[in-house]
Amino acid sequence: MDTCKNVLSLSPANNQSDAYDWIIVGGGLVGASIAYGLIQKQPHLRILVLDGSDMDHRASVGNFGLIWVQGKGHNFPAYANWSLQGADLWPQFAHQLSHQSQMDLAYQRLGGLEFALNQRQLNVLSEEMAAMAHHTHGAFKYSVLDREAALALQPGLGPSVVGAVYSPQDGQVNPLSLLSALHKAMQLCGVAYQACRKVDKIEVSAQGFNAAGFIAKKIVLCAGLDNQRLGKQLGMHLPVMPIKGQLLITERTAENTLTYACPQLRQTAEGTIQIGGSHEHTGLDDSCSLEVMHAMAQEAVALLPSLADLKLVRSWGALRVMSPDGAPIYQQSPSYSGAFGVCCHSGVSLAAAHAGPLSNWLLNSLDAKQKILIEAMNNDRFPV
Amino acid sequence: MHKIYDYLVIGAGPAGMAASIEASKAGLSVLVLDQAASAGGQIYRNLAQASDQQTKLLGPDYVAGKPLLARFMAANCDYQPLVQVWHIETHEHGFAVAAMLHGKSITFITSHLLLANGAMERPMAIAGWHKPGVMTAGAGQVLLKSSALLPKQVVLAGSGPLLLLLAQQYRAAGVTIMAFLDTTPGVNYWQAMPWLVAGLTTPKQLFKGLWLTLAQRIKGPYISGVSHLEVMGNEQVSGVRYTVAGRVYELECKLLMLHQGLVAETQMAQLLGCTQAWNETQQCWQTQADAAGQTSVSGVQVVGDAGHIGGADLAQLQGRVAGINRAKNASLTGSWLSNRVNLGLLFRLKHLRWARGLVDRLYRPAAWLFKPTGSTIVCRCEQVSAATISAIADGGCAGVNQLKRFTRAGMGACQGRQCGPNLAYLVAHAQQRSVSEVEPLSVRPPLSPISLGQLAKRPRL
Amino acid sequence: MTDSLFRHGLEDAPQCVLIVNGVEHQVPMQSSVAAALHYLGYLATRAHPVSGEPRAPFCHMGVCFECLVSIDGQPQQRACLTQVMPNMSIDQVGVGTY
Repeated sequence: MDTCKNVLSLSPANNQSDAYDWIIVGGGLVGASIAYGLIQKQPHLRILVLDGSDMDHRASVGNFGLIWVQGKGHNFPAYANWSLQGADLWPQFAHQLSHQSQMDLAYQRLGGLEFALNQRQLNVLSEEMAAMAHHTHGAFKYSVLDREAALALQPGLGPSVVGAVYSPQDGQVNPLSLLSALHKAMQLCGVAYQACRKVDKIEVSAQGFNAAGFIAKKIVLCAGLDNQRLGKQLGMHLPVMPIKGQLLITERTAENTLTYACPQLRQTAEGTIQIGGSHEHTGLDDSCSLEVMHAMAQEAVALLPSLADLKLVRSWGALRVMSPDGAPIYQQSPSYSGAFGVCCHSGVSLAAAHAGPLSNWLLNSLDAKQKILIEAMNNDRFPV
Repeated sequence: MHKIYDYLVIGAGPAGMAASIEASKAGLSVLVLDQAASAGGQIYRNLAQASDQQTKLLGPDYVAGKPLLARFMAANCDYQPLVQVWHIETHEHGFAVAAMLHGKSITFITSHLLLANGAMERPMAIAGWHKPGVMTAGAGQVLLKSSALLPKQVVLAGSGPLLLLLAQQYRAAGVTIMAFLDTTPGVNYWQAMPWLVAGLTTPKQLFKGLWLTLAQRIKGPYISGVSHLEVMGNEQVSGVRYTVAGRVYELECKLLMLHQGLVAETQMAQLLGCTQAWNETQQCWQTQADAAGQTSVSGVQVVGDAGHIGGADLAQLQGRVAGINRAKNASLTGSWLSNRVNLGLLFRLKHLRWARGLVDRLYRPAAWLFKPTGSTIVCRCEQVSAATISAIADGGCAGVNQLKRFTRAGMGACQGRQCGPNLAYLVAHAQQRSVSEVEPLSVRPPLSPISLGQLAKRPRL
Repeated sequence: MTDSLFRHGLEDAPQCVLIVNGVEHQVPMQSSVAAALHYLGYLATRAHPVSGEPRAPFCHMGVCFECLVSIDGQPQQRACLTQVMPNMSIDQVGVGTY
């Protein structure tokens, strides 16, 4: 049902017939970070972000809020280095974005913990950490904690917790504030934004790329799961599939229960506690299921028994945009040099990297070493 | 092994009771789940326990529910009060309904669902409505029916038959009504006039309505044409400021009851994926359903005020029709006679719905109510103002769900029940779209709070 | 707690003990906890977690969530959906919790 027929453009943009320099397809964390990054580097650029409708699938709104390094790229050196670089760019990025948007992102970099409920889990995690350290030539720091050491960092752990891995380089942020701040800042800097403009077909002509009636010489696909379909139209193979993640969110609690970033449990700046961790293959169904909610609650209470009395206020399900090996895809179209595709499931963790070096890559203004790193994450690694 | 019910009815108001009576009569296994301690819904709340003194106070329409209540209590169906449904999902045998009962989560399985969970007051966001001392007219009725509690002095403000009824009940009980501030816009009387014909076909209801209206005007103090309302006070209500014909008045008071009609509670239907449509006359989102209550989702019916606001008689009739149809689908009835009866019921149903058109138009909320501004709190749970929401809406966000993420409006305990419609109005207004184009807030479990510990202990299916 | 803005409508209604913030009171037995609190003179039920301002029940039917109090040690219960029971203990929550 096309319910957005009459949405008017209310951002400081021109009317439909003018051409843009860049069209970004997708207004989620990836699209907004890139639009923001591009306009910081070249303020005179005319950039248009085309966003979907209110009820479209959006991975950005199911994000846990972690700026996570540990484990990301444990079997992919370029990704490991990229993740670490991204996390290191975050403090400066947060400061600048916060200032421009006048919004508090609740950004923190106090380190991250992942808990293990049995020894096998702990062993797997330790191996992943070791691999990360190896790929980054020791730049990635971590410790493997036994139960006692884990308790010292996180009191109140349940009896079945055997230990955890810790990295000081992990952090957290409010992902919805991040998206809101990016939208606000990019529009303040002159980026045009149009919601309810789902792109069905991209036409290529001498004038450039025509998407939803708008034309630009350069186009970046940041449409999440829809990138696969749109990529084909521009000669790009962008293999992504949906992996559902469910979240549980509790009421606010005044107590400071959790300090560190953690993919299993996270306390937000508002005081609510988020519980995450499901990975399900359910196609495009992002509904919440009894079985998974039950399992997540069980794990949460096993990790931290004091959570048992907290009321669950809402749940969420979102579809991660997952490539075959879980690492991002950064692709320039072999058929059209002005067309790019960007796919990842870590829109928060990589927001600073996307606003920074990745935007430079799109503008073709970075050093060779950085270029090689980014291009190691193109689709050559996938069989067609 | 879980028992698989043929019919699971959520809500023991007139619609739910009527449906369960029909379905159990036809031999189906029926389970009725209800939130209250006893059956009756909102209109017949606490009817079984009400004393003679209470029923006299509440009026003849309240007592009229007794026969239905008696038939329900005698019916051969399982009835579980004090239950809070927190999730519904599809199941291999139909649907799984997860509910909290005595602090434990229980799952019920059914092949067919009937949503008869009723309506709630339209949230009316005026400046200061969040302060202690402001409540809905419906709250006044709940306090009266369930707890026999009366205000000593009160100001009633708003528009609609429920407010007039409450005024009548309060007068009978000796409550001081300091003022009845009627916000019904003058233009409504003109727009409703053609519908007088419809009203005349249900003469009893029409004259009752007329009498209630006249009574308030005669007994007073009654002020009509109120075009603006604001609540005064800091930590609690100290008074109300209102505008009539361009002049501003202030009235000291400590209790204010507001009313602007009812809106359907669509959370469960939305969770199940039933198609919603914007009802322009009743100004709310409603689950699309046919005369038998069948929604867009196979196996799910919706009846009564949960579907379309129509009052107790219509709800009871719809419940009956839905129950008969459920039995028919189960091939347990379907004789020539019952088909004739069914046609008769359907005709009455259509008639009552049509006749309702008068009330709908007469008491349609004034336009100014849909445009809260400035520091007026729109999302009570997260304390988000109209100004904050309008600013984001002006930025061209895609709709209320995007807006929710950017402002936290709709993320609190009530999960958008008290702010959803107003968010939609603000987005529509800022973006010059019609409200019918703005999709409602998405619904996720839990529909009712459940603790992590309770969820962790829930028995597996 | 102040003079109540409400009164009970029935004569000789049976009463029972309700403990509010540690203090024993007599309230009508057939009553929701929210109604009993109003009867005793408590208008506000809680402090709002964001603003800290006092909030009172708005709907009395379970959809506004303003009536959240601790009942017999269980936090964040909706007072309007709970019936009074003899010797039930009600505690109002302060700033910072929901």
